[in-house]
Amino acid sequence: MISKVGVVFVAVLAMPALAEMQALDDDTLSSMNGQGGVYLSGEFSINKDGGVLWSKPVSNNPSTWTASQRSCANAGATTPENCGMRIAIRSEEVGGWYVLDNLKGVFSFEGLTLRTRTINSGFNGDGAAFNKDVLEFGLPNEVKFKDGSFAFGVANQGGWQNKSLSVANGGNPSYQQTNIFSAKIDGTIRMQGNVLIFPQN
Amino acid sequence: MLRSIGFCVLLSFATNGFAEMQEMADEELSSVQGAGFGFVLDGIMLDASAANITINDIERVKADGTKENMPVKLSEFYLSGSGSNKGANKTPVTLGRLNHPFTVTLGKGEDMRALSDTWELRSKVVREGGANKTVQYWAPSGASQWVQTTPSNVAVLTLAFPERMTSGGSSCISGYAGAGLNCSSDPSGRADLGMRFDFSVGGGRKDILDFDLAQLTMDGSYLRLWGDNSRKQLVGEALVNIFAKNLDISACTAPEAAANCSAAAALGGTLYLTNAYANIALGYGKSQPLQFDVNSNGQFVLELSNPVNTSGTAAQRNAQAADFYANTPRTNLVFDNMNIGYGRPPANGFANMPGAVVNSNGQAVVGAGGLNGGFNFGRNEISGLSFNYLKVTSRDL
Amino acid sequence: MHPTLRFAKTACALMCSVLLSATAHGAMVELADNELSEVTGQAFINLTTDSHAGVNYTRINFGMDIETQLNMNKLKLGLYGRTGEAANTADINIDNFALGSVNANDTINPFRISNPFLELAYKDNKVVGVRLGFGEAQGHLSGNINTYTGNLAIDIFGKGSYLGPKITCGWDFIVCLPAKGLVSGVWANEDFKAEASLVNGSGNADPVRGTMAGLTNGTKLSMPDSSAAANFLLGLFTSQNCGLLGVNTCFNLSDYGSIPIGKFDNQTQQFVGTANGVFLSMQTENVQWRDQQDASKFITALAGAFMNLPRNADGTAAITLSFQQALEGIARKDTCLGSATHGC
Repeated sequence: MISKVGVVFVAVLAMPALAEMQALDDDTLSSMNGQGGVYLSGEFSINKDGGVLWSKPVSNNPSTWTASQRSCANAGATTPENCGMRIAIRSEEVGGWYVLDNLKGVFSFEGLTLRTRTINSGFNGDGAAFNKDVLEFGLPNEVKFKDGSFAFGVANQGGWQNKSLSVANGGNPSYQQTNIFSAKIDGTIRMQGNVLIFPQN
Repeated sequence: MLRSIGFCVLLSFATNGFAEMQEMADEELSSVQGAGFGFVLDGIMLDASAANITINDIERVKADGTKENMPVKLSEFYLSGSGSNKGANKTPVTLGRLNHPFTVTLGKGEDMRALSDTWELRSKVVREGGANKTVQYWAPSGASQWVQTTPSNVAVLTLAFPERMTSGGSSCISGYAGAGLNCSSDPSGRADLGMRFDFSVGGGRKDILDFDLAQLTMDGSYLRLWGDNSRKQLVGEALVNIFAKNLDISACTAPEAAANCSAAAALGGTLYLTNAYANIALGYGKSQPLQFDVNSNGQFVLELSNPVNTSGTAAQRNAQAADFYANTPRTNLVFDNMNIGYGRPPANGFANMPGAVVNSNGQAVVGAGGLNGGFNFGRNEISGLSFNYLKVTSRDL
Repeated sequence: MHPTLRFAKTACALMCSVLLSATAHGAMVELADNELSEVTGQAFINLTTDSHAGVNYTRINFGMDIETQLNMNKLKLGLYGRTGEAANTADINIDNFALGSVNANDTINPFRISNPFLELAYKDNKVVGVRLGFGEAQGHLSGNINTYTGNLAIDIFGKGSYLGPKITCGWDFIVCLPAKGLVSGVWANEDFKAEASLVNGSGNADPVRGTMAGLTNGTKLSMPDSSAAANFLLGLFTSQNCGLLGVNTCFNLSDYGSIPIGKFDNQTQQFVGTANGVFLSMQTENVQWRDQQDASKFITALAGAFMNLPRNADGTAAITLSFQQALEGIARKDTCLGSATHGC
């Protein structure tokens, strides 16, 4: 006997006679809103312990290095340092290179959010007139750097070459790189806010 | 009896709907002008005081002539809403507006416009060599208009700040008409920005430079990049507008171990700028694009070449020069009021500065002048600057 | 090909992240000490310090060579009320300011600047002055100078043949007549020079917001020797109240349309040297700045805005004019492309 208090779950499938599946018309479909999003945290490091090209030499004096060694410590420093990633770009047919050099460090963040959002109000009255969807990147509360660094400069060759070694020894005395700007970052940058992105034409 | 609880799941699919995707006709497709995206920074605030940021590659020359790296510490960096009192009370700010956002677009050069002051050719009579002669010169007409500055038939990548408009909008610097009246950012969308640099100059002393901008906006700034076929390189044009109600620069020196300058030194050496703005124009894409090269010596070269083709006829050269002078955006640097060590001017201005302090031989008396160490430099301006030619090459020091 | 695609293709083709390494063979090469600094890359900015008489200086040097030809509608620095000066005047006010010049065929003669620097002067730990200096500068500087505060190197001279006839002799004919004879005769081709400075219409020095350049009261022209005749002439060849022997000795700055910076050879119309001490400064009190031309000397800049257009290294002035030429002024060089010449 079937218990009176038994709860019977009946999945009723649409049948032609009863609750027939019907196409939702476009007006109804377009008024439905979705909810969803992404919450990201991450840590990544670039060349924290050096990279694949150059091994760390013993001294900071370029003339003592072998062909596969390079130290990226500052001028006048006593101890050598591992080197970071290098990207070189040439923007003309014949000429020198823009270089992003010694890009390295550990970078971590928590709480980068990503979702879509419909804006049709607020923003000092601009929202109502705007009335569209945007992609909202929520900035993480903190971005942490550990031993981060980079240098931006210009050079006459794409790849780094040791100016203090002769060509026979794997260097290139005519190599010239001029650093325009370089920085080291360590610690936490606090931020808040969102970046709203939407198409424009 | 069966109690049935029915879960009715209705799955529906759009069929014969009202908004059917349809192919665009060719003429509709060609009218789409460039594509890109806009972005707005909503409720932004930034504070880097808990980070150790050092800038390198400035060398310090020691007394014995040797050079060593001099680290410059960025000991303060903040971005906040206006009214933060030099970063003491940070609040979030929304930069850019939904209808006037920051934009990154790729479009056709002939469709792009820049707001430029219109200049006109005038003549005047001057006396030179003992005789009168009539000469021609260009001067601002007082009006501004949107002109095409980028060359036609190229694809141009533009990174732009919120735009300046032809009409409407707010005063670019609140309460001051001289900087322009049609900035799209409204008063609540202006930021406070501050940064402080500590230079360890050696000899046990460090120089501190502390910048605090209040009610900053950069409407109308842009960077445009495209490939130039004849020069076979990447070229561009840029306009950087900086409008600030107040800019305070504190320049003082302190012992290396001290955290800050003494209060008296910091105040005494603070440069107060009120109603300051800069429009820095680099390049006029059609005839004088900005070229940034790296030469084969590994030095950078920034170049604005002659906008006129010197191998043309006089009529052609005159026409090219006329187009350039009438339409090129100009560089202006205006500090409506600048004081050092004196604070902001009161409503009726400061009292007159003293006259020159010279001795009976007409020689200046060192250390004299000024008023209690402060000085009111009044209004300072460089306006209507344009380059017929510029080439900056770096070299090793 | 569609321009967008072609651009993209070119950009991709040129983008290269070149990572090369080559094997090395032994021999270590000794490095000179200055090469040690080129570990990561050469920097083009450096900082030097200086101190003198209780003032500390910090200077940021930029390793740059600049060639430019530019025009400015207005250069106005220091527009504020100053005791003893007319209202609504500025320390430095130059309209249609230009650097460099343009030829008739629209080719350009650029103004050259090397190694510009920015220097801050500190007294009692606070900044008292800032200057923008040019290590070396060469070229024409043009403009309508309305007011000027600073050093402007101009020499004015009169040739003997011009001054001689203007001497009239009276009771002192015993010394006067021989002197006049010398000036018109032996010394006919001599230049009797004096340094001009900023003056007002009465011949008094006017170093702030000056509108005229000329000989201050009591300035004597140089003499070829120190004979008795020369000593007698000193009295006649002294400027008073903007006059000397009936000749005007004070001239409007606005008549000087173009000033050569660096040594300029009038014969060949070429520059043969650079000026090493050009700077523009602003200070809250009278400040001494080290002279770039002669490191043992200092230039005292007046409180306010100040522009230093110095003499050449050999002591000659940027502009050397006869009284006749000074009356006519110096024509402004063409600084604009196309049909305009006096500003663009």
